[in-house]
Amino acid sequence: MAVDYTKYLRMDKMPLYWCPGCGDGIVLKCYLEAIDELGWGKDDCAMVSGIGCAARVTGYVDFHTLHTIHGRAIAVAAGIKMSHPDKHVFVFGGDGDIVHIGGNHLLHACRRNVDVTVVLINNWIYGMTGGQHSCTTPPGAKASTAPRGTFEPTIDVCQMAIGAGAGYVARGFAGDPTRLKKLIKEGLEYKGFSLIDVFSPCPINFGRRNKLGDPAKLLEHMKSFLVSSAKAKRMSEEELKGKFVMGVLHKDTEKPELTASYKGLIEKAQASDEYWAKYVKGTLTEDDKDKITREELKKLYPYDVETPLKEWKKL
Amino acid sequence: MAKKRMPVEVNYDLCKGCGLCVHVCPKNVLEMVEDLHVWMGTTAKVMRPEDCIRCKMCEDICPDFSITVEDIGVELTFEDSKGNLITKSK
Ligand SMILES: Cc1ncc(C[n+]2csc(CCOP(=O)(O)OP(=O)(O)O)c2C)c(N)n1
Ligand code: SF4
Ligand SMILES: [Mg+2]
Repeated sequence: MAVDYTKYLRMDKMPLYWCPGCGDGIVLKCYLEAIDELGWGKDDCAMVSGIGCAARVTGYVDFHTLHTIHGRAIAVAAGIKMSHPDKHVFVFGGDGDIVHIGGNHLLHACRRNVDVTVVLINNWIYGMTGGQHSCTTPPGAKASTAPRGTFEPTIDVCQMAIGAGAGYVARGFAGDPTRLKKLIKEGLEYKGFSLIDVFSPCPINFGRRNKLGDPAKLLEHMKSFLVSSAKAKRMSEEELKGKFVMGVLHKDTEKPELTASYKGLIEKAQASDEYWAKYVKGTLTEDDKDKITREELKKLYPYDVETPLKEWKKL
Repeated sequence: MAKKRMPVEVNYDLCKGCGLCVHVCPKNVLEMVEDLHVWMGTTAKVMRPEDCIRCKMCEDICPDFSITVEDIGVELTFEDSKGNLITKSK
């Protein structure tokens, strides 16, 4: 046994709530293995989730956990990260939760590049509520709200996240746990927003309606949509149509992380306030000039330069 | 001293009988069996433990944390499918 999972799980809540063959458990296990390899303490980790089958993960892991409102997990996680920049913050959620209902929050977290790791369990369906089709259901697949097959075009979540400016974007597959663990680990280590889109089987609500009720059969079906990034390089655009590339799709090591840039701003703003306070009191020394440049001082002071002097004279 | 343990062990309290382990095992060690004494009515059972190469494919794919595979190199004594006591380390 490589990893002692019982260390990270709330064993009194077991067995897991998910249906037999549901991929959520595989993804959770890969994620726990990645955390174990990184050696992060349980009290340094905070996990946030919204609503859905995938979002039930927060009930089982023994970290700081928050089970929040539908689609808003990323917003809550960003808030936690901003107030506790030293903690590791993760989001778990389904496609319906994170992309469909909370898509707006996903886009803006990508844009801001806040250091949150999102594990998106993409099972192509709204699993918990009985199999309504979501924005990732492949065209033609049957769902409870599409008994004759969906006719809507789908969205490529990874391309959307890259476009919105996410720092790390990868796609994994629950049927390939070894590689998935590596992708999740890389995402956890990355300083900035990381999204790992995991294709995961929902044999009960997606599979059964599409004659793929056997989890093994559904896993093979999902695999037929995926190509590894190494193989994709050798394929033409024509061949890649309708396929999804697995692996690390985007990694930007240059983009500044939000909490770091915010901290930098706070330090400069405090230095500028301190400078003006001392200036007003007439206690400025030569050292204070080194702390902040003249240009920065002008830019950061939210009022005109004369105001504090006038205010002071009035007293 | 060899440990007394199967190379693959299934926790019947957690197994939901999805069959993914049987699907991924390259050596056909596991089988799905009907068993009315377990909570789901079906469960994975280790039928040919002597064939196990400890690749951990089943442990990795199991969505319910119910399978544990011993590491390669650890010497184990267990009963094989024919009922003989054997000792293996990989
Ligand atoms: C505001 C709000 N709207 C709708 C729902 C109903 N609801 C619960 S779970 C869910 C879908 C979740 O789907 P997904 O995120 O894909 O998770 P999955 O179950 O597939 O893992 C919906 C629509 C809700 N709980 N709250
Ligand atoms: S409904 Fe689908 S996603 Fe939800 S637990 Fe069952 S198999 Fe998993
Ligand atoms: Mg879903």
